[in-house]
Amino acid sequence: MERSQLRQLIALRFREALAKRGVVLGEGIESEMALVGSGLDSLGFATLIVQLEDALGCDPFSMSEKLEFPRTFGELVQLYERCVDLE
Amino acid sequence: MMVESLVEALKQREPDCLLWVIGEERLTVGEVLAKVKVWREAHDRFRGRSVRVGRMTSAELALVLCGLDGWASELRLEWDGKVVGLEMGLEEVGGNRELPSGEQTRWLLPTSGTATGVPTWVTHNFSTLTREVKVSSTKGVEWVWGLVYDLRRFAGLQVFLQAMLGGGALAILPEREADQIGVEQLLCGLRDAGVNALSATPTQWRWMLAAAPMKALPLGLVTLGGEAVDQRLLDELGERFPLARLTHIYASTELGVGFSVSDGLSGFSRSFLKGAVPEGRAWRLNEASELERWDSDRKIWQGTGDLVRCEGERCYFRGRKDGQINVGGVNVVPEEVESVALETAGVSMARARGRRNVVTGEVVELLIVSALPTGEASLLEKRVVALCEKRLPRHAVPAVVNVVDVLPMTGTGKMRRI
Repeated sequence: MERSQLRQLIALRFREALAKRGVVLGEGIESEMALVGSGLDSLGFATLIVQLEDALGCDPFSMSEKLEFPRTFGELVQLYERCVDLE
Repeated sequence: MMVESLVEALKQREPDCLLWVIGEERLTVGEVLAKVKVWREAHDRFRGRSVRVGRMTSAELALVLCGLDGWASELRLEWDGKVVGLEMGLEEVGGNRELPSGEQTRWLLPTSGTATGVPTWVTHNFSTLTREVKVSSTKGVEWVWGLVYDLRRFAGLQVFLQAMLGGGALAILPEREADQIGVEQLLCGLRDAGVNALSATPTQWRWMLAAAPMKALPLGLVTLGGEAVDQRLLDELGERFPLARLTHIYASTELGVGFSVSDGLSGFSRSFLKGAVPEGRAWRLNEASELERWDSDRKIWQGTGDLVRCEGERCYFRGRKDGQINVGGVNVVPEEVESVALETAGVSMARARGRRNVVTGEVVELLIVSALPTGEASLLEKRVVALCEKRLPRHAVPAVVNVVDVLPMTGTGKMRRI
């Protein structure tokens, strides 16, 4: 998978998750966009990472020793870049 | 004199002590008691009656609970409107007598895990609800408890009662009602209310830890309950709040408060199983690894439905015997998800199960067998989710739906729960 494809896929799922909470995003998603303040809640975020695990075959959170969630959309993408095989 | 109701308990406290912080409003014990008196005068028709308590804000509910306890013969705390279809407000459903002196109001609480069905009622009263509440008029005075649970649920009631009886105050955030409130807004509200004691599910804690304003909360008491706690979360909380007393509680609506653990480790000590705990109650594991509690009234061992595995001297919760899925502290009955899925045209078999994740512990994963031609399967997934969203509470809606050829079966031909 290419880096840009990965980002697109995460953005799509993120958009869908927010839409279920009644939040509609504009055109692009900035890397700096906050995750926790975006309108997503814990259940929405849990759903997102389970869906991404099915789509990408990896769950970066289960591999980590420490409990730490990404703060921004960009950090979320970086986490997946580290666990998905990129071309 | 034995205290038999909320109002009697409040009368034992200093009237000038702060009791409720509701947004900008700050009420002392004396002011709350005066409000309860006015409420009772305006609702005299509920005296001695059995009363259904419908949907209302937490601040209204707090007052209604004080008004009805020790005054109505019975109060039935309905679940949320989506489940029982209850309208707003209060409704009398029977009873026509004065509450005899010395008799306590019956509290009927619905058990969780009743996504679509009729709730099962569990009976409590002031004594059983407050059994584990540490009553003190002086010691607890420094604590301002934040209410982040739903006040209708057992855990929410415990926070409410601990603040009311324990000598401290309770902060209720009016904005919380919308359920749309972001976690950052929630934390700012708690901070502004002066909250320094907080009880929440592990899922809520993880989500709050991810938010920036969490740093500004000066917590001295950190309590977790409603789902199993993992070591990663306890370590993180210990690091963020080094001076706080960290406690995780094993409790349920049916059981009341079971036991609490404060040694900073997940799970509980095996020594809990060897005999009586301080309250004189005892626990053991049966052959199926289910935790059983000694029922001292009926003199029998009673199953809790919770499965436990011990490793060395430590024991850990490992899910429910009946396959119930715990999504962030909310129990989901798999059969109820399956029955909605099976109503979708094109679904011939369905199986709901828990799928692990780091945020909410579990989410619902649904496996379906399609009766449609291949190619239309992806459409089917969307249709099932759409129907579930319409019919089930949010936590019960499958996070993922997978179309499979066959469902896993057991040797006896029963569908296997994993």
